[in-house]
Amino acid sequence: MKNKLIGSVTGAVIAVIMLAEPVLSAEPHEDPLKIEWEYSGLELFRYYSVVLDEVLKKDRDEVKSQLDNMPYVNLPPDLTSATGAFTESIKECAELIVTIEKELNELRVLVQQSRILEANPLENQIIADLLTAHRAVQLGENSIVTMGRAFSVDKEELNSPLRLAYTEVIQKISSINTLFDLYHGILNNLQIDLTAVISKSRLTTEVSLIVEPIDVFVGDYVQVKGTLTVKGQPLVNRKVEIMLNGLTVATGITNGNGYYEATFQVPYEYSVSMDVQSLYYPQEQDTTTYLASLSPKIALNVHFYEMFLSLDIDEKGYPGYETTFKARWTYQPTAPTIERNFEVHIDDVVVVQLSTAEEFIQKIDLPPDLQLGLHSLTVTSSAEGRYASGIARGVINVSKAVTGLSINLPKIMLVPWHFDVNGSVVSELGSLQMALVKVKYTSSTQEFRSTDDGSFKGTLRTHYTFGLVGSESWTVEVIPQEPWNSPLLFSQKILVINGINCGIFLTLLIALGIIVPKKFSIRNFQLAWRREKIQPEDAITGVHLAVLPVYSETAANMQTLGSGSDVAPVARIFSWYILLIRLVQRATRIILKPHQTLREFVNGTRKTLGPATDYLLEFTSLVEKLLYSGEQASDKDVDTSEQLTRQVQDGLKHEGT
Amino acid sequence: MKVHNILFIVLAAVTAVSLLCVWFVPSVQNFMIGNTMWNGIRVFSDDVSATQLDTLDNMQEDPGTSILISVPYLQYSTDELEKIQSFVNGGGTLLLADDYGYGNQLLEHLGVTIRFDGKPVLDPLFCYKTQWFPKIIEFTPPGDFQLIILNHATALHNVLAEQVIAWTAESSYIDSNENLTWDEGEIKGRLPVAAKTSVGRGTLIVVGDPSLMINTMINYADNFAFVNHLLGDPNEKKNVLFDTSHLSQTPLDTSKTELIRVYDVMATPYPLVAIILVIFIGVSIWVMRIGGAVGKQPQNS
Repeated sequence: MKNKLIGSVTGAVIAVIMLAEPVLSAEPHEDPLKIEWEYSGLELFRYYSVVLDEVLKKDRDEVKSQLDNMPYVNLPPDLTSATGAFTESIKECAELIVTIEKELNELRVLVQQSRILEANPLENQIIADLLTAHRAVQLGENSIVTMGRAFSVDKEELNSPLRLAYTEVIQKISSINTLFDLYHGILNNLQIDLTAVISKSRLTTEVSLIVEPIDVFVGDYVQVKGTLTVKGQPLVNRKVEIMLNGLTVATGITNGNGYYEATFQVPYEYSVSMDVQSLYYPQEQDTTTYLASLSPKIALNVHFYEMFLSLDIDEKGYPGYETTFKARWTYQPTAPTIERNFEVHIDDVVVVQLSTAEEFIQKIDLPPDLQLGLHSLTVTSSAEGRYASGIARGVINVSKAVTGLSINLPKIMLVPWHFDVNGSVVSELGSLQMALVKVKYTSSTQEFRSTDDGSFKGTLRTHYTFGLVGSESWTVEVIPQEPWNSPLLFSQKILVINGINCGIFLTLLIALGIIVPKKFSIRNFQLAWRREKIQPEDAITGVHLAVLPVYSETAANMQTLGSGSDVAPVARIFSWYILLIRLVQRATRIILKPHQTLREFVNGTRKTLGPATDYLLEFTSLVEKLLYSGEQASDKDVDTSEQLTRQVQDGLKHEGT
Repeated sequence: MKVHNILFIVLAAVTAVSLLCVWFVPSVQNFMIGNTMWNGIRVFSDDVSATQLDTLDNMQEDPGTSILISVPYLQYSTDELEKIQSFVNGGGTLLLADDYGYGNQLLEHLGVTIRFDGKPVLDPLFCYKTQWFPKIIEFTPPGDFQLIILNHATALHNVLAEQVIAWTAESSYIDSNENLTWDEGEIKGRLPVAAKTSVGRGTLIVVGDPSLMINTMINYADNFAFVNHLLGDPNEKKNVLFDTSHLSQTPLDTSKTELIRVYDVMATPYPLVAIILVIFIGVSIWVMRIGGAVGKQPQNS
């Protein structure tokens, strides 16, 4: 019954504790390990639809950006290849749409200018690009069909969102295909125009080109000249365009000999080579008579003083703290020194502008609110005539300087107390000035201010607390004034001794230590105490035995037996004997073992007891006789036993035990 | 044995077993530092050496070196709102991570315009396993993380573009009617889920999903790097304080908290002395009731 009661109550309490958890509102999260994968074909097709819109808008950067995120899409593993193929094909389509449009525009110009020689290779290029585009569209469509099968689109109703989204994607792919077909049509029209130009018997023109000088510096003027002829005869008063890297930079008009000349300035583009060509194309009434002609390319060797700028910077920077860098540069080829303008940028922000002709060392203060992390330090020098621009970049890792603290906090502390404290706060950038140093102990805080050399001192007072002895923590907080130094939080364990509480506690313990032993019997303590005090008389009277609870009743009886005259003689004799045996045991420190007879025990005490053993042996014989013979004890036996006891007692005294 | 003795023993045994269970059975409640299961924050807490705050009364005196993380699933009292405002205004950093709780109460009190939507933000495409786990791949400015995974998150409103730290993908939407499908009228597209702004001398970081920090999520993708980024420069050693006083707690958690509180009180010297005295007096009374002789017995004459 009792066990059942304990068991049921204990079980109920444990159950209440364990079942308490389900009493919850809606969960703010799920365990991701316990949920199944779910894929959304609908959202995938919607996403593709948006991407295809961007393709049709000819925004290839946006298309690329959106498709580059595809690795993060939640997709069934078996669709990885299909989505990968779709991504590649649609990216290619987006690129080709832009490319083909540009090529068609170029071809249109060439056809208009009757530039057959240039038009033919471009035409072939467009045909190849359109072929690639159609293949890419087909691959994209096949990928979508594969995905449609994977999401069982064909089993969906016609107006279901998934079916509609799928159809929309297919339609947009079809629109892209239509766009390429449109380009194809434009190409066909241009081809027709081109064929018309070729088929008409127009005269072929020739334009020659001479460039002087070939080796020039940027900014120099270049003279070009040549002749425009048709079947060796000069074409008079015709416009010849001078093109530099494909762009018209000057125009010449042919004279009566078909000779033209023009001058242009080499732009400050600091490119080592530029192509010069002369172009004639028929205009107005010439369009029905002549074909265009383009001179061979002549490469212009462009010279300039290339600037090789380099920086030596401190890799580490601190917000609000100055950083130093050294800028130096050389020119290739060697050039005369001139004063150059420089701009120094931290990330994209200009922080310093200066002009100098020599290498320089510059100190700049980093902004105090500069975000921690990597920042670029860029030095630029703008181009100056023949001197090209220069740029050099370095990276500064901006972080806060780690604050170091030195303080003489004690390892052991007595509370309540006060003591002098001093220390210093430094960082790798030097001493922390006017830094706030907060020393916290339990609930009290004391504040110090560091001096110019970073040192601080003062008196620390520890207040009375409830602690006795134990480990506590000091917390020292350093709050620097400088934005480049980091705050510091430092903890140190110390042994705290509360003098007052310890005194009270010790007093209490001592008081308890005195009271408790007096109030309660502590067996061993008292036994030891009594061993020192016991006297043979006590043993005989048996008084000392009364303090032992286990014997208390027997002892009382023995006292009575041993001293009263109305008790049976045998009981009195036995009582004398028992007391005597105990006395001997204590005096000799020899214990009566369970397997020993009384006689064996007595014989064993001879060495210690001496001649008194004979009296004890005689007493033992008397007791054995009374125990085993069935004889009744007489008064004489009682007297004898008392006498023998006295003799043994005397013997013990004599032996000094 | 008498009935009242049996009842006393049973009561004592039950109390002892209960206390042991409360002490040793780990918490399974959401966001508890002591919870080592999937939904606790033990891993994160250990990594950033977070200190548990059972009450906002225990906040550090100097907020300049502290970061308070609060997950408000219980309402703030006026006093608590004032305490947090004073903490932030004094230079502290508050990381308020909420999805469906009482975050807006605090945002309103702090006087900022940012608000939690309070409804789930789902993304059926850019997600991990299901739309409840949106993948975030757009961050401003970019950090040492490319991808974080949310778990039952919400979006933020009234956030300036320059305040936004993380955006959801275009395919995400706010499931206002909670039917797990995007419907006409529901907001869809890039949505801010984390933002940072200044309040007074301090900083307020708002995140639409506290579950980023739970044991099972913290090591997914770059979640830990992201949360670390939110906590600021690792060179600046700051106290990370985790407010558990606004989390709904099970009786076990409440009991644990109370037991720890009682233990802390009892471990101080005065209650300890009082306990010793009570035991001493009790034992004395018991011994005296048993009676018997003490000391040397007087001899019978």
